[in-house]
Amino acid sequence: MNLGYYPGCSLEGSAKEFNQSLKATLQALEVQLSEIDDWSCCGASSAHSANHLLALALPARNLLLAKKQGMSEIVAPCAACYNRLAVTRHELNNNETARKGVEDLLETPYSDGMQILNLVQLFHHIGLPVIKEKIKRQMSFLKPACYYGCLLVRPNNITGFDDAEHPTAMEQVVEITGTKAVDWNFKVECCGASHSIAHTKIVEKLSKNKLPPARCATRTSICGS
Amino acid sequence: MYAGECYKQIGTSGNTEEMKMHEVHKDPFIEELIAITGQDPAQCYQCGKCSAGCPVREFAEDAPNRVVRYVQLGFYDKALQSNTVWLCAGCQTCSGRCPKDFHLAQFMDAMREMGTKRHIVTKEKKTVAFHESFLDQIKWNGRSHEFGMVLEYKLKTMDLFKDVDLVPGMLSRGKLSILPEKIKDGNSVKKLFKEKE
Amino acid sequence: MKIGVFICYCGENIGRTVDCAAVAKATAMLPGVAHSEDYKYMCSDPGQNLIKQAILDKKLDAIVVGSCSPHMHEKTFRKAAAAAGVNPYMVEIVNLREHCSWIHDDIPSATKKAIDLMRIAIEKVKRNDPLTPIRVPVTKRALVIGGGISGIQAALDVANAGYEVVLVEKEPSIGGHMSQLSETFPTLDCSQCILTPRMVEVYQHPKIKLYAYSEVSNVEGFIGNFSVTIRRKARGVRDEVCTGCGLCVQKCPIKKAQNSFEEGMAIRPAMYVPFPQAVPNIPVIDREVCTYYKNGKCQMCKKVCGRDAIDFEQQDTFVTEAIGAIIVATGYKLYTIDKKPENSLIKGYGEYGYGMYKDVVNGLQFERIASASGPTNGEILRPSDKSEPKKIVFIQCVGSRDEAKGFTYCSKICCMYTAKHAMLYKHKVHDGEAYVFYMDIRSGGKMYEEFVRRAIEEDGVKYIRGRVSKIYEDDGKLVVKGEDTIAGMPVTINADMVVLATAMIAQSEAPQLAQMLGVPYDTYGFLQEVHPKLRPVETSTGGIFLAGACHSPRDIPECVAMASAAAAKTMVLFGSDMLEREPVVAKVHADTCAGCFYCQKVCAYSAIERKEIRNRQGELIKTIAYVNEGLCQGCGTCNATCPSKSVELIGFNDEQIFNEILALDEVF
Repeated sequence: MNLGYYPGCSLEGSAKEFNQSLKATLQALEVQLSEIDDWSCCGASSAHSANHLLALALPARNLLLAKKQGMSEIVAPCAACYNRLAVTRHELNNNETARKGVEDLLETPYSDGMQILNLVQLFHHIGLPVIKEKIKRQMSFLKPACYYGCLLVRPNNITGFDDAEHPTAMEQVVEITGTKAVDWNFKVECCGASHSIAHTKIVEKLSKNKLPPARCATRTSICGS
Repeated sequence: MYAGECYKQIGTSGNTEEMKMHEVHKDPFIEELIAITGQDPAQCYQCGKCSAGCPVREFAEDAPNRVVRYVQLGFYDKALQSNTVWLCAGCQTCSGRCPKDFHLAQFMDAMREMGTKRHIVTKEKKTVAFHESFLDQIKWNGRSHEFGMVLEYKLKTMDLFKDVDLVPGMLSRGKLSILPEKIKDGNSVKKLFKEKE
Repeated sequence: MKIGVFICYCGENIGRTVDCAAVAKATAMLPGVAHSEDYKYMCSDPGQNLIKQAILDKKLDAIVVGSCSPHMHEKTFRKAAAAAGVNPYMVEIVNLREHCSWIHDDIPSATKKAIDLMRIAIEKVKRNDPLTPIRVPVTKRALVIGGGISGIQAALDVANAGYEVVLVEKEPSIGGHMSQLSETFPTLDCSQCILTPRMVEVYQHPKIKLYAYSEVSNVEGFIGNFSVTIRRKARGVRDEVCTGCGLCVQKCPIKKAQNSFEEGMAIRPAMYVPFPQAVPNIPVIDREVCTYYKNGKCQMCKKVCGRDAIDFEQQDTFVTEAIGAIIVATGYKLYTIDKKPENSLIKGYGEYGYGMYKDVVNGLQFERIASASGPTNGEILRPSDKSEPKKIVFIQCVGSRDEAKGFTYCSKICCMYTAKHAMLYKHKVHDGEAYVFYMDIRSGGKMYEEFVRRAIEEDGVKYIRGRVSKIYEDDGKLVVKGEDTIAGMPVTINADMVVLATAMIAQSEAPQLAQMLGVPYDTYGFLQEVHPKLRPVETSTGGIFLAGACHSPRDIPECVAMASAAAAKTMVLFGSDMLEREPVVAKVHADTCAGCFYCQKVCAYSAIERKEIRNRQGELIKTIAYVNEGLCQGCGTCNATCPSKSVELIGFNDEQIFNEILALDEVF
């Protein structure tokens, strides 16, 4: 399987190990990633606070590049990048005024034909039985709690997750490793990440609010971004 | 000022080609808001479900539904000045649960955009500085450069020493690079900022 | 033929944009017109007298009135003409108001259009024939579908007026949702205590024939002349011999079926009577659960029955009843927050747990919990551990007023029953705290607002204005996250139990029933009245009336009032032996009809029948189409479809229509 790849800025910097582990995993699953040449930042989470057209134009540039480079599916592991790319695609397909504004900025006509996958969707795309066959070590000693957060699942009509409030798509992926994911109340609650620089205290508090129940239930917690 | 004052009815008679019965003329602020978000704040019936589920509710001056209320009543400055507008984390919990399908997160995005355009002074200077620093990196480099962004942010806020202790560790693990990685076609990104300025 | 023309100003309504005097003057010149005049209010008494006088003075044969829509005053002018000796069908109405003055503002062109419209009608009326209304007989027997409080009331009213009633109820007992309620607002009287006497009255009434555990399977015919087929579902118990002793129910060993009367909060045997006061008090075998139907074993009920009433082989039977009027009283059902809602339009409430938390119940479940005959014998105990909840939260508008996840409309009764629930709770749990999350309190009704205030002021129920965002379970408590939008403060309540006032929604079978009856229904599945203000219980199909919550969400007093209104409409219909109806129906010309029956295929009212034409020797010559005048609605589809032009729509035949078009010649 050969897929387009949009790593996003964080995976090149502070989330470097996420990038490394993902690449290693996909290599084992015989999935080739070709990075979009000369990709640029998607703008999350500042561009949509600044200008609605800029917020669409930044991801649209990448969608157009991917298309030009012959891709039809792109993997965006970062939840924020995934969200911006998916929302942009949805807007450009459904909102003519927005599409025209973006086309004016990009000086290029937009055409659709790009599927955007987050990691959970990617694993389902590869096929859980296929992955299961390649698992070398059962992870039954872990009791993971899946954390989706906001941007993977919302808006639900665009992301298309199985459920807006109680999704189970990530649990399905995790459980093929032989573990049993624990159910908990905060899997789609906000962690406040967009305030991690300006309001560290808010982020600490929001994350802590979720941690106690998570801690009792789990030894490891995984996250989409 | 009550927004109702600026409402007037036009086009109830006349044999013009475009005869529209009872077209309500919205005031320019609302029209701009509708142009950006595609939704009219009049849609909101103030049930407060958004505020009930808002993660930053306890840190904000006004409940999110109250910001919509200010706009509904025509108190636009009061709405734009509210720190709630800038504390909104964009999590979209409100939008997902709204019984009226009002996309409040998108409304908040538009409020930030419109506030900035109107040079509204907000108490949330740090959040504004963060967004500016972040977007500057994209504009200059095509990608976000965390080191450059934090540097600019610190200069803007004069909050020089926060999290400095994290830097050596991040550098040694290769998570932070001093120099930005520029994309090849930088101009193609820079021109996208035309609309914002 | 002498034609009279009358132009009405309708005060300013027509006169403002149409020069009525000019129209009268112009039409006076047209061939055939013997009289023409204009007047300010033609519908007024003096206006009608003008018409009558002109008919007498000038010996007019036909009249054309230029006025408002025929929906308004066609009847008035027809009566005026008839009073002066002109056949009412020799009257044509031209809608100069809705079709002309209201939609134009240029006087010369509107006046010209008015003259054109008048000329068209004058050409038609020249070709009108005097007609007489069609008369059909009336079967004075009513069918009431649904045996809830609305159906019971309607059946009793019609029966007490001396007419026979057939009452059909799909459940084993009549009583409907009202029999499940604990106490009723705003008087707090016991629901069953006021309902059961009515149920018994129905059963004992000599004029009421009750088919319980039955469904209407087919309806044919038309007003005054319906033929209704009823499917009597097999109980497995022969009702003609059963005494209702209850021994079979007692001895049935299979005690694990979900008790739907208790809203799933209790179990019942496979052989059951829904509740002790059931009418009729005859048990039913639940064939899904009974072991006899699985492996032929048990038969305990048969062994203990002293009357040999058990009949495992009993099959559904069908009966046909001749009926003159139908009252539909099929009621509502309650919206549930389960993950898989029946209606795919509803997204469901994941944030309230999709029904996965045992102690989150709906309004009807709470009614059973609070009811003395309910699963907890009237003690307020939560379902999970049967403990008394010390903190209870009521949430209003779940599924109602929620276009994103439920329905846009307001379910109307929830504000009142939630106040009642909170009050009942406080009366039984003295040290408990009750919270109500509401958006608006809609307590319009006699003593209703006073009732809600009593809950707040005397019983100390805390009302919080705001919608709840999320409910989750934590350490045995239900964490309810809300916002008080009045104080502008977040509110989190660690509750022991939550009651959701879920929406009243249409029965899932309502659309099928409506289609069977030919009655329109709205997007929600509620049946549609013909006029929202002036004809609220009638449907667009003659002889079919609506009562109760099948029409829209409503409370008991409103259901009862509507049921009595539907009964009154039925009695009006039964007040005469023959019915009159408009003679505008299709007619097949036997000589040219080729018997292709295309008309039968396109007729929406099943009004086309087959008729054999025989010669004097009785030999079949041909089979032709024949219009049942009782069913025909005069829509003209057959007329347009007929390849040999053998169908004529009386009053609107081809000659009339073509001449109307030709009258426009000059315009083209």
